[in-house]
Amino acid sequence: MLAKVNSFALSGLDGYKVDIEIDINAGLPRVEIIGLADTAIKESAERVTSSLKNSGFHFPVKRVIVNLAPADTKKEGSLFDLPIAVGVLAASEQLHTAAYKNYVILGELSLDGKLRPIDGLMAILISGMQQGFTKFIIPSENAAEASYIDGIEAYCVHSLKEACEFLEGVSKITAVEHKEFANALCEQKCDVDFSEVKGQRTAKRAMEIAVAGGHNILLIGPPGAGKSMLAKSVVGIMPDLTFEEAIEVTKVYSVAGLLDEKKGIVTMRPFRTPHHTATIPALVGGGNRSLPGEVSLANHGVLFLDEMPEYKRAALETLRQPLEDGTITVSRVQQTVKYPANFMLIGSMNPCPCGNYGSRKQVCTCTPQAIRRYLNKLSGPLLDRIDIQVEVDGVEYADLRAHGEEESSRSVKERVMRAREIQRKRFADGGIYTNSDMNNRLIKEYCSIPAEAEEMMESAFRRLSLSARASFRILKVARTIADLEGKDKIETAHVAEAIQYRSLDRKYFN
Amino acid sequence: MREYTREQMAMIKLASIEEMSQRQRKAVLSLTDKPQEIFLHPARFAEALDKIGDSLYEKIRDTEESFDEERFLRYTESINAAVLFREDKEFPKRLCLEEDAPILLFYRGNLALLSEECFAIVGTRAPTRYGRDVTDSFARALADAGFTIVSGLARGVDAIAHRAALEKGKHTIAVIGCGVDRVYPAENKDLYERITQNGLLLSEYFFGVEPRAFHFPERNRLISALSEGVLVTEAGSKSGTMITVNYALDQGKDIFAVPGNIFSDQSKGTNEMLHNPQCMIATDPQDILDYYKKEGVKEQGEARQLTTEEVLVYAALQDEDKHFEELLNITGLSMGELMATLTKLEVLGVIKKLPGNHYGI
Repeated sequence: MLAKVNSFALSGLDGYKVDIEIDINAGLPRVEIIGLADTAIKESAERVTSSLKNSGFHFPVKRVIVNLAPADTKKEGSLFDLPIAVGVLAASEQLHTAAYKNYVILGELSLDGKLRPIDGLMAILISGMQQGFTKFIIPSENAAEASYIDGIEAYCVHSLKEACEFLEGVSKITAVEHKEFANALCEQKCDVDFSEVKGQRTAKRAMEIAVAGGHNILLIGPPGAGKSMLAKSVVGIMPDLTFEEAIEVTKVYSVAGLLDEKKGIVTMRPFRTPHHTATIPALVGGGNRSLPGEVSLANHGVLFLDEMPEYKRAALETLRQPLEDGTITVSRVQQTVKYPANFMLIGSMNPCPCGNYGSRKQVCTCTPQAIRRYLNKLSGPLLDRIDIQVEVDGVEYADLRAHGEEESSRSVKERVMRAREIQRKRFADGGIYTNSDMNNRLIKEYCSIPAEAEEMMESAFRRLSLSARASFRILKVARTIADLEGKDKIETAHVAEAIQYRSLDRKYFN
Repeated sequence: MREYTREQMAMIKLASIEEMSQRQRKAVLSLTDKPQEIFLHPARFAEALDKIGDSLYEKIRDTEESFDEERFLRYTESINAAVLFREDKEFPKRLCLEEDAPILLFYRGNLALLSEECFAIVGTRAPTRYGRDVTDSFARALADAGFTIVSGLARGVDAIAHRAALEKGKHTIAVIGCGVDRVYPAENKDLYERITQNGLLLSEYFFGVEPRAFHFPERNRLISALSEGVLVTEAGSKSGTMITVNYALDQGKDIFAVPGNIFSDQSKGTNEMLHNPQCMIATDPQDILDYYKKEGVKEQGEARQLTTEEVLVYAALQDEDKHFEELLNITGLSMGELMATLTKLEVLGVIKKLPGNHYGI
């Protein structure tokens, strides 16, 4: 007899339906899995055989053919164990119902017949729902992930036996209860509060502006200045994830197998810090399974590149596409997949190889050439995408730091949210969300500045030898500063402040 | 296209032998009135040549075979360069030094500059901020007063002096220690291009010759020889600048030095110079202009009343450079106000932003 079970497979973040057909023929006893299956799926034959036996069923002593349709796409992973087992039972008439046809069945089996969690469930459930499937049978450990998706019935089972009993109607299981995202959101907490960073007022101000306008930022400062701490604290002042954003982040984490199964959804904005030895596939995604890389894991969050010039030049250059488009296309032999990569880039670097350039207490031992070589590791086009460059003070300025109370993340965040709200309204039908995404046309439309400021910018270019491409960056940042103050028009002071955030363009760094 | 006589061509060929020192070239040239003879009949000179230096005879014979006059002329034309000889009327008299006048000079740019009043500004390759400021302000003032600034296109003081003159829209001459078609150091490429357009680039060395350590002292004698006087803005005690100073002393030029911080290594050289009675002290560009009885040109800036905030910040910076946080504490301005004020003052050229979030006047 022939059985056909519905299941799903993943391509990037999108799931597609896979029909698992099982036929049992006379012949020498063996299992054959066809339809471009990878090793994990081929091995599923052994897992299914053992788990059937250990669940009190018997494996037919015949020739079993398993076909994964469509047959022309490469399928990977272990999520077909359960549907294959159910199919074998149905085909060998050990399962006395056809109810399995109404469900999408997913799950990995262990040898004793228990179910194990699978990766990428969130992405599969969403794709399944979009394609009109509403009933799913999933491993119970994936329950949390399913609970945030409204409009589906997900039935969690612990073992193969339980699944069969459920299908036959012997035992009753209720579908996973839907949870509200807002409740999950309350639990989040950031590691470093903004108030824990003492002093550093210029840098903190720049951070606030960067977050408010979605600008990328480069922190320049000597070793030990607290650049990493500053970067870590930024997550706490970013606006909360919206549900749509959280789902998108969770999908990526789920596919990458990094999701916390108990929580089932990502509620914190991601903060990713790849090491500077990271390879290109690690950064942008790839490998033979075309998994998402750091830029996609940082989607809707922060990608922090500590000691940016230490990264391989080629690796840094690959960031240009995601910085521009907010997506990354990973092409491999088997498939080309597109992952989201809409992140805020925070880079940090020393002012020179020894780190003491510009310090009043330490002597910089670098030659001008060495400094230039160091700075040149960041290419022009890459720097072009970093709106704010700011210097962070060395530890020797600890005594200068104000003794007053430092502002907490919460109150900074409120200001940021207000500025974001203004931007959201401004770009309501523009398809963008923040000032940093403005193109030249939008800059012309929204960033008109008073004549006085125009004059100042012109002389600033001459006097401070700012590069020409800095001008749009300055206007965008000035727009954000005005938004933070709730001002409708950009004022001269806003432009003046924005000019201060172009440290690397300055003559003294060359 | 400029044409060269047979004698001149022979001298160019001689210059193209990189292994030969200037002294050897002169010794060879002293053997005959017709330099082309050396190449036509090297055998006649064989004995004398071998006495002068290692296998010079071989090198001369090789050059005669490999040197392609056509190619040389085409190349010279293509990069808009030319060769200046002592007998040319443009060849400045002041370069006819007693012992070591150059045999010829390769050049690119405006030869007319040689007839202008020249003044050399030299110093360390790694100037401090003080040295940079001094060089910049003296170079501007001297260029404004009508001097053509001469220097060596090296890093540091040289480059700053050239740039200051060009920024004032004035002329400048660079005497370099490599071929005129080579840019050294590479970071001065833009400056090099501007000088070939609006200034004059001079070198004793053949095209493509690399900058060798011993070239620099040699070209230093030309820098001082070209100029009425030499100004040292900042130099350490063992700086190559001192070689220029010694040449200037030998050539009887006026020598000026700007005093510096007595604790700074980079000012040791200039401060030591001030002990020498032949060196004059210059604490203001006007000191030099007075000596030459020249009128200085007043910097014309648009006068503008400073705002209260600007005065506050300016006053705070008057004694010494301050960190941003210090300024916040002293002036009591808000972050945004202070940043805006600093930018405005900076744009006016009243203050400077320094590395490490420092500001100074």
